[in-house]
Amino acid sequence: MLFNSFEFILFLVTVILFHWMMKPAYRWVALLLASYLFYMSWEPTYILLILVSTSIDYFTCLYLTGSTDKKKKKIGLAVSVFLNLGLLFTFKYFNFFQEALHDLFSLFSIQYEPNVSSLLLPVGISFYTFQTISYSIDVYRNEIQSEKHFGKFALYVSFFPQLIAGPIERAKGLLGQINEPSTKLKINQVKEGLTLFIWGLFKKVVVADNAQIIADHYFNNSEFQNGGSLLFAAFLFTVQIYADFSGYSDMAIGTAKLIGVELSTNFKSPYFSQSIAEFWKRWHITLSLWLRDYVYIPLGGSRIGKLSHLRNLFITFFLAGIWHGASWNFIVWGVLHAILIIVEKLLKIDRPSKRSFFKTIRILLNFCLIILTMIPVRTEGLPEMLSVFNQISQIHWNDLYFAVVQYKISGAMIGILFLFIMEATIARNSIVAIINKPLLVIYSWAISVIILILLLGDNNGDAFFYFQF
Amino acid sequence: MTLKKILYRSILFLGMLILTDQLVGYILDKKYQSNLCNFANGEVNEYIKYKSCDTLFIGSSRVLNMIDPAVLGPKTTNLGKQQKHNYYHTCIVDLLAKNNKLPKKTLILNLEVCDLFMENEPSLINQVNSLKYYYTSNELVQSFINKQGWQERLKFLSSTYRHNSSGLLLVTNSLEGVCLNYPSNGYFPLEPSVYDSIRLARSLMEDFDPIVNKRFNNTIFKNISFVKSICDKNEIQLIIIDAPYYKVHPEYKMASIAIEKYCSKKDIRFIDFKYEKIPGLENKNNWYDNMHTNKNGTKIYNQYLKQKIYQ
Repeated sequence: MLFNSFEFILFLVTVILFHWMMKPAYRWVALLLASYLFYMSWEPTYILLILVSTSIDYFTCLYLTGSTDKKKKKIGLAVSVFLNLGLLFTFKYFNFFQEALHDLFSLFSIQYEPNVSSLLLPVGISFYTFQTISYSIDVYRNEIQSEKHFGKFALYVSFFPQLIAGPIERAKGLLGQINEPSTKLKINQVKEGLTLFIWGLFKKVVVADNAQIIADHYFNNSEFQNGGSLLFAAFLFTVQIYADFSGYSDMAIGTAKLIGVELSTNFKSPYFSQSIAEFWKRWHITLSLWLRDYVYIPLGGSRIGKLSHLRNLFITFFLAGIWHGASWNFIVWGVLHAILIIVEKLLKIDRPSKRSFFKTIRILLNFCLIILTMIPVRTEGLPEMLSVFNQISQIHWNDLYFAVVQYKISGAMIGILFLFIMEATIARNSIVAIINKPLLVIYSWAISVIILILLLGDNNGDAFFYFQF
Repeated sequence: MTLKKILYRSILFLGMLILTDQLVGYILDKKYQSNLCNFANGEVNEYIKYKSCDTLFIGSSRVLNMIDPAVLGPKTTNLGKQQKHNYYHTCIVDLLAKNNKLPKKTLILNLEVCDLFMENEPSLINQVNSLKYYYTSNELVQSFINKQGWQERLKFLSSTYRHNSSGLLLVTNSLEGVCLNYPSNGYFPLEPSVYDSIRLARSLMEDFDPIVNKRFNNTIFKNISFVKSICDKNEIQLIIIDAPYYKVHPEYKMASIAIEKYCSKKDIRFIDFKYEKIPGLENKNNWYDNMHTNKNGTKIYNQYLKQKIYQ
């Protein structure tokens, strides 16, 4: 059940009605049932996986809270993390690991038949696994108390608006709201929720899906394309992935608001960043914070010497790459970001400039860098990635001009223009800022967005890109 | 904010939205009706408004790029359209019939055998989406679009939605004066190029995946029967053809046999060029890819086809 489908809208209206009609003390039941139904709409059997993951963390964390022995607590945490990562490894990384072993043995002329698993990747597994791991670590660190109520904890793990593609929520924020639900629907929350939902839908069906059509056209036949067309396709893919993922996040946050729950902000116009370091403070913020709190800082962060600091950065971004997908391309993507951030640190250019001229230049240059780093994410396999880089390195600027002119007035380009204008003006941090504008502005904006969705929206109900993670 | 105020504002917003939607829909309807260029079904409009012929070819890119009326005779027209298959073609025949624009003598329908395999049905229905404009006026178009789900009826409450995906072209192309006219006979040749051999080699690798679902899609037979009934009513001949391939997928044979059987039962002439040895087409230089001849190959194929049809 995709957010950009009528089935979901019908489902959502039903859930909202049931939720607000029930007594606050029992609302978690309605939401838990809805969340499980929502997840089962993809593959019913994988609900067992969520139940296993939920049980592991529920019981190990009860044990962690009950125990005062540091050694035992450490073992408890290790068990929880190991089992969660074990599930993730089995479903997501096993085949990649087997293929990597096969390649490694081939280097030494040793025959190794990879043992390929036929298990399908359950949607959202990377998201809820990270969410449950953060819970276990927070309990271990005594930052939160373990949740005694199994049903409420199960809802924290499976809360349907953010179950499939985040934001990755911490227990402090989400579990707190589940335990103390808001008693009545606030009009401002409804306004913000609807605004975010419509805007997210626009990003998905107008910008992302239309950009994808053109980007796919070039990338699927990359060997026949010139460098200019491929660079244009890389630009479109860069916009596609942002509009797709941030569109999902907006819809998730909007949906949660309609149920009276506040989720964390996940994007703050990341393509208006002046450096890669700033980009990661605005892109998939909940993952960045997760990696900062549970990987980067435990490794020592920036306080243990320059070389170790750079090593920690490298490890964190390497993990960010591999979190996204089980392939060498994602590892290359993570490593590229690590190198760029390290270079920025060494050259001391990671701080934003305040003068508007330099600011603009830096935003443009940074955006170009991001476009290039997205090529590994879009291409399939290292040979294709290298071939695309090679073709772009021999670019004739006329080819780029012709590629852009060909699509200058298309659904994708109009959507991108509208998106960037909004982000450069009203929606710098979030589109909800628009609800403070005069009524005429709000209505004009909402009507324009709805008409653009009806006129330009891709009607094929394409899945969100980040579901594969 | 009071409940009264919320209600008032909601009604105001809905009113403004409906008004804007109707206005945009009305403007786009007008643009659509006057469009005669080769986008947003302009070629169909042009044919309905200004053209008539004795022999009409309908099909996918394997008609658009492989049928040259200049070779076949002056009263022949090509109404092929890229990536459009059987469901779309059936709707076009229905639209032509309702506008009294069927050919005077012969309708030649190029049927893609792959359409017969059930797994293609969603994409076949999806192709009819480009005829959204006719949703309210043509029952066949409506029934195909409604097959996509109950939500389609709701979407068409909006007037703008009738122009989803083509509305922008209607506005911008007319503002810019862009009109992608193919030659008036509808043929769009694929010029031979140095990439042909690479493309052919690649499509030979890609076009031969085993067919997973071997069940036939019975709607295709119903559609053929529907087209045949229209042709009989208007006293024109229906010929079904399947254009040649450089190399035919081995599993297409059973689909071809089924079509042949069905056509013979319904008294429809079926010419299967896939399995004919057409002199000259064994040369790969005459192919754009495995499914399309280039301009040179089209000439060879059309001369052969002319002999076959008029023999």
